[in-house]
Order: sequence, then structure tokens, then C-alpha cells
Amino acid sequence: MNKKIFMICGLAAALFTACDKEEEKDNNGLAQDYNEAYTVVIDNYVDQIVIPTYAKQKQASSNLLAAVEAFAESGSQADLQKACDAWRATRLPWEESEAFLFGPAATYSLDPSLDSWPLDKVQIEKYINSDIEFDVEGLGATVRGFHTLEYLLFENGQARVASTIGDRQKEYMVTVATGLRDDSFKLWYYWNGNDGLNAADEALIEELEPDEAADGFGKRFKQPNMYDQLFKTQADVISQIVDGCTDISGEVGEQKIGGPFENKNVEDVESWYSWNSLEDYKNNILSIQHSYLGTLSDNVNDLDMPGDNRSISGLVAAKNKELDQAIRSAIKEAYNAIDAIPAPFRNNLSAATEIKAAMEKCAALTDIYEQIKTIIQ
Amino acid sequence: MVHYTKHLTLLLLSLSLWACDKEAIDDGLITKPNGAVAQFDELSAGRSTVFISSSKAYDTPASWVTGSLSSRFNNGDLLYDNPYTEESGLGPVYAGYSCGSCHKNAGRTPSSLFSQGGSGNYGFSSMLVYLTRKNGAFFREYGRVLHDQTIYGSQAEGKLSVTYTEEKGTFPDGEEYTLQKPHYTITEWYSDSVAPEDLYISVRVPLRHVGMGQIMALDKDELLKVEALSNYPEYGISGRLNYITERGVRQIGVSGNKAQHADLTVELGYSSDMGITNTRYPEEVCAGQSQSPAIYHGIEVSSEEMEDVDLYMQCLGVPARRYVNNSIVKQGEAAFYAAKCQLCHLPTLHTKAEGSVLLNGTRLPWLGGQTILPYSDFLIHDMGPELDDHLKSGLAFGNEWRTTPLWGIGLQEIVNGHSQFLHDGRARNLQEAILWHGGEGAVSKELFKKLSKEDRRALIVFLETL
Repeated sequence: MNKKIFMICGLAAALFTACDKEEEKDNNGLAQDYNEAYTVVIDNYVDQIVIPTYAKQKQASSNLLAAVEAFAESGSQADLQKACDAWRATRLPWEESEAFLFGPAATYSLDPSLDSWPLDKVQIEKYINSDIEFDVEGLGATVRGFHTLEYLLFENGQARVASTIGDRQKEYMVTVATGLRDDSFKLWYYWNGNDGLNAADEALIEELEPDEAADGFGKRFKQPNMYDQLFKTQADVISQIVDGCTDISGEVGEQKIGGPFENKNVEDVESWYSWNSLEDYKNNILSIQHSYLGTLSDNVNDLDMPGDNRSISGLVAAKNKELDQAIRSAIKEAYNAIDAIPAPFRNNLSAATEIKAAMEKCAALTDIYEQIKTIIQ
Repeated sequence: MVHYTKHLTLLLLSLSLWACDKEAIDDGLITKPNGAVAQFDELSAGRSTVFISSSKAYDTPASWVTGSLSSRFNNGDLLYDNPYTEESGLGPVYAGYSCGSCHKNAGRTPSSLFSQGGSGNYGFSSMLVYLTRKNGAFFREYGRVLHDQTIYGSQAEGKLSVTYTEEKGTFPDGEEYTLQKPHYTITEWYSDSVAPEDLYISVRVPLRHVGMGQIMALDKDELLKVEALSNYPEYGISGRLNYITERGVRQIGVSGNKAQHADLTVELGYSSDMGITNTRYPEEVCAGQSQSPAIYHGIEVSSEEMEDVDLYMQCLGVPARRYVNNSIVKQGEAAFYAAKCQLCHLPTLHTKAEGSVLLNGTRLPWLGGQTILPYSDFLIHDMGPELDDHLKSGLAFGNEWRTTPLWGIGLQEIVNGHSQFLHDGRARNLQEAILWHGGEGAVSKELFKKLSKEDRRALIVFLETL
């Protein structure tokens, strides 16, 4: 084949490809537009990161309810300690889910229901000191969830003195723990849908009657198309994953750490009864790491390991290795900077050097992470 | 003929402005995150356009928000989302416990109306329930808004319930549709029950806080011209501006479902929606009622804090139009014009040169001199008897509603997880919202119905990309 014929064939092929692409676009941007690399990343994100994280929380919250019920029954210090441990174990996956607070967490107001801060202590005490019958369905966001339970379980970073906890407080604890279990279950269910339900799941579905219209947000997340109001293309989906991460890195630096530091108000420090604040913030950064690396490892040193093509990291590295490395470094530096703040955070709001460094590293992480969008088409 | 001349004049005016604006924007070279230069059609709010299509789309600052402005923006954001408690002044009666409780991510939190059939138990219901006597007066014991939430020890003013009846319809091509018509009742009145025969109830789910800065900076002279041109008898359309008189000043109303506000009502929101007293509304919202005869707790939010909330809202970016070159979107855009939607959902307007001024006088010149694509004429229009809530607001009668700005509307489900539309969320999707149009919107509705199924779907896709 001479060069001219080769060129003509090449041009024809290019034109043909262009026409094909145009036809694909005209074909409503449905599956034909899917980019295989994006498909792998999105599927992995849903199946290996989001749903397992919520599954972990679902199980942990169920354990937490059992532990709180056991304490309410026995009143023993040992059982209270177990309930406190179970609270921390449930708190961990929740904080590790905060890079994906979009979707069901917002749709069904589960984020405020689980994690409103500050809580309304005055209201809580009034409830407890009243003779009203507690009903988990009747509890507003600022008198339920993690922090209400934390307030009832902990004092100065440790389990309270069990003997000081009255029957009404125990009853309220059980009510709040029930709500926490229910909300955690719904979070998982709305992402997962009806796939692989076990008998306990089906019993809870019957009891809680979750929205039947929700058939797994995860499925919709994986199948964007031009006729879906939610996500029209895979680029929209990837952008959402990225924005979920920058949202939480921004919040950790500016609000969770920066807010109390600027105001010098210990009551602005989230999770201050349990002194779990710094763990919360680090787990938020791990939530970003999970989303970026596409694995659920909690070891920040994994950021030094080679990535794979199932992850956002893989997508970035394929286009810009330096950016991938910079993002990995930024995640690790933000984590380490938070880790360097003296604990407990609530007693160390004057540690300006460490706190400012953590705020700066979170801001740097937000900025560099935004650059992922430069390579998404 | 007169009207054709008006149309031609408007078209030529728009084209000339479009050309000038396009040149100006081209000079500015606004780029997207992937480095490409933004097309003019994508720039919903000129330099305040943000290229975000995720759950953060309504809740991201414009790119010019830097330095001290950024610090104030962040503080305003924090205050906006900060839950008030009894200790910090919430209530005693209220509708929501923070701005963000009802405007999650500066959008529209799903109302308990949708999930719990009424006021619900969440501690906020993400709606306001307006009450009026049939003679237009307010009820002494309740005022203009029914506060359906309360701190412990007080009684909510009442609880709203909704039931729906289905109304079936058919497109000319035979496709069927169903609308759900709401019926509201109030029970558990804290004081004297109000006789249903003397009661009108208007339910309002939250508005998106998209483009608040641009709306505050609208060129009022241009709005007067738009009002003068809004006279299309062949389509039954004749819009008018609403006017509101507050503190002795008569102004054009631009915000709110009926354009019944000239500002962003931050002070009113704190007072009426949350029970947070402030310098403009120093008394509790329920002061004088029989269950709370004389409540005065002092100022619970400062003027400086409220201005930062105002600043936060006005500095938010407006999400860019998306997929402007997609063939379905272009088909839908053509259908939008074919159905004459643009006669009220006017694509292009401008902001005044000086920008906007906040509550305490802070100036935001960056909002000035911009071409914006709100898809609204900010006029009030008769929307027919089905949407008549019998509540007069400023000049607007019960059947008159402000043309809803459509910018960002397609991102509502991503931001807030639901696709309920219209003032009370009765429309479960955009198609239903169109089909509820009556009065001045009736001709467009009929034109929409006559479109092919493919064009109807494309029109919805177009709206979703705004």
C-alpha cells in the first residue's frame, strides 16, 4: 500500500470513527458512550467502597444497639464500657463514609438525623426528666443520633460512672441507639437495593418500611444517561465522587478544625464528650483515601503503594502521574497533620501551630484534588 | 401588529445585547475545569458561573470570592448550617432549626410533606404553611405562618396533613399522565381551632438559593422594560412586576414565590422560621400569643452574623448550563421555544453595573454588569385556578406567581435527592410541573402537550441541563 492510499484510508477511518461517535451521541448518550475505564472505577467505587462501608456501619450499629440494651438491663460499668466501645466502632465507618454524603444520606435526611451537631442538651434533659413515652420516630435531629448517644455514654473521653445513669437516661439511650441502627440500615439499603438481603435485613425492611421507590441508588449511580435527571454521563458521576471528597476535606479544615479554633469554643468541637474528635477527622481523610485508591485499607502508607486501574488514582495516573503523586502526598500530609494535633482536640485549641498546619494541609488537599477535574472529559 | 413589532424589537434588542455580551465574555475567556474556554451559552451567571454538576452545585462560592470575602463567606456558610438549639434561642415555636435544615446545600431539603404526609417528626418539616382568613386578614393567634415545630414545653401552633387525589390526563398522542392534587388540613391547633370554612392554607416548600446575588443585583430598569414587553395576547400572557413596601420604601419585588420580597429575608427567616430574635425583629415570633404572652430573650443573632449569611447566599456561584451541544439538548431547546416557554422563562437578563449591596452596606461589585441566564422574567403571572392559593402578597393575588428561575433546576435531584417542584412540591417531576401550568401558562402547556413524545422528553432533558 503506498503512502497516499494509506493516508486516504486513514482519513476515511478517522471520518468513519468521527461519524460513529456522532451517532453514539445522537443515540441518547446511553450505554454506547460509556468509557470502559470509567465503568470499572465507578463499579468498584460503589461495590467495594460505598456499600461495604455502609454495611460495616449497619453491622456496627446493630452491635451498638445490643450493647446499649445490655447496659440498660444490667447497669454495670463493664457493659457501659462495651457500649462506649461499640459507639466508637460505629462512629468509625460513619466518618469513613463522609466523602460520600451525597445521595441517600441527603435524600432521606439521614445525615442530619445521624450526625447533627451541636445537639440540643436542654431539650434532651427535658425529655429525660419528663414522663413522655419515648418514640424514635418522634425525635428531631438535634436530640438523636451519634452525638446524643455520645452525650449520654461518655464524659471527658471515658465511659461515665454507670451508677449515675438513671432509668430514664437508659431508656432514652436505647431509643436513640434504635434510631441510629435504623438510620444506618436505611443508608445501606438505599445504596444497595434488594440484592443479597438476609433474613435480618428483610425483617428490618418490614419493620421500617423504607421508601419502596428506591431500588438501589448504587445501580443508578453506575448507569448514567442523558434521560436520567440524576447523572447524565460518567463524567458527572466521577465529578460527584471528586466533589464528595473535596467537600469533606474542606469541611474538616475550615469547619471541624477551623471553627472551634477561631471561636475558641470547646462546645463547637464535634465529638468532644468522647474525645473522639481527632479520630473523626482522620477517618474523614481516610474516607478520601478510600475513594481515591479504590480500596478500604486504613493504612495511609498504602498511598505509597502502586495503584490500580479500578481507582480514581488509576485514572489520574494514566493521564498525569505527577498529579496522582501530588494527590497521594496531599492525602497523607493532611492525615499526618491532623494526627500531630495534641489530643484531645477540645483541650488543645491553643495549639495554634499544629492546628494551622492541619487546616493548611486540608486546604491544600482540597485544591489539588479539584485538579482531577482537569482530566475528566 | 403592535405585538409583532414588540416581538421584533425585543428580538433585535436581545440579539444585539447577545452579540455585545458574547464579545465581552470572549475577552474574559472564562475557562472550564478541563481547560476549555466556556461557551457563552454555558455561562449562567457570567463571572459567577461555577462548573460543578454535583451535590455541591448550589453550594460553591463564585471564583471571585477570595481573601477576607472568603473568610466571611465561610462564616456565613457555617452560620447558615448551624443548628439552633433551645439554649441558643431556637423557638419556642419554629419551622426549621437552621437555614440549612430546610435549604440543604443551599437547595430544597425534601419536605416531610413528601415522606410523612405533613408536618412530621424530624424537628423540621422543610416547608412553610401560610394561613389567611377568607377575607384576607390574618388570624390573631397564629399570624401569617403556622409554626408546626416546637421546643419541649411549648405546643406547636398546629400540624399540617396532606392527602392527594389523582387527576388523570392524556396527551394528544395517547400517552397518559397523572397529576396529584393536594388537600391540606390542619389539626392540633394550639389555641382556638380555625373553622375550615374561614381558612385558606398555602404550603410552600423551600426555594433553591441559586442566583440570589444575581437576583439582588438585577437591573430594575431592564425589568421595567421586560414588564412593558410582556404582553402577548395571542398566548394569553401579560406579566407584571410585584411591588413591596417595607419600612416606608416601595420597591420592586424579585425574590420569593410571588416576588413578594425585595431582599433575601435573612432577618425575617431568622425570626419567623426559627424563632431567632434579631435587631429587625427583636420580639419572639409568637410574642403576644396566648401561650407565649410576652417573650423577649434579647438579640439571638447579631446583625454582623446575618450580614455574613446574606453575603454567603449572594456570593454563591450559579451552576453552568451543561451539554449545550448535545443533540437531545438542542432538540429540547427548540421544543422549549416552540412551546413559547421563553416568553415568561426569559433566558437572558442583566445585572446593574454597581452589583449588590448587603444588609449592613458591604458592596459586591463583582455581581455587577453581568449577562445572566436565569430563564425568568421575574414578573408575576396568573397561573390559573388550580394553583390559586388565595394568599395576597404585595400586588400578587392568589393565582399570581413569579416565573420560577430555571437555572440549576436540573441539578435539584443531585443536590437534594428529590424532583418535587412548584410552590408546594405537588409536581413529582418537571413534566408534571409543566402540566400544572394554567392561566397565562395554559397555551404553553397545550403546545407542550401537542409535541411529539420524543420532543417532550427532549424538552425535559433541556431543562435538566440548565
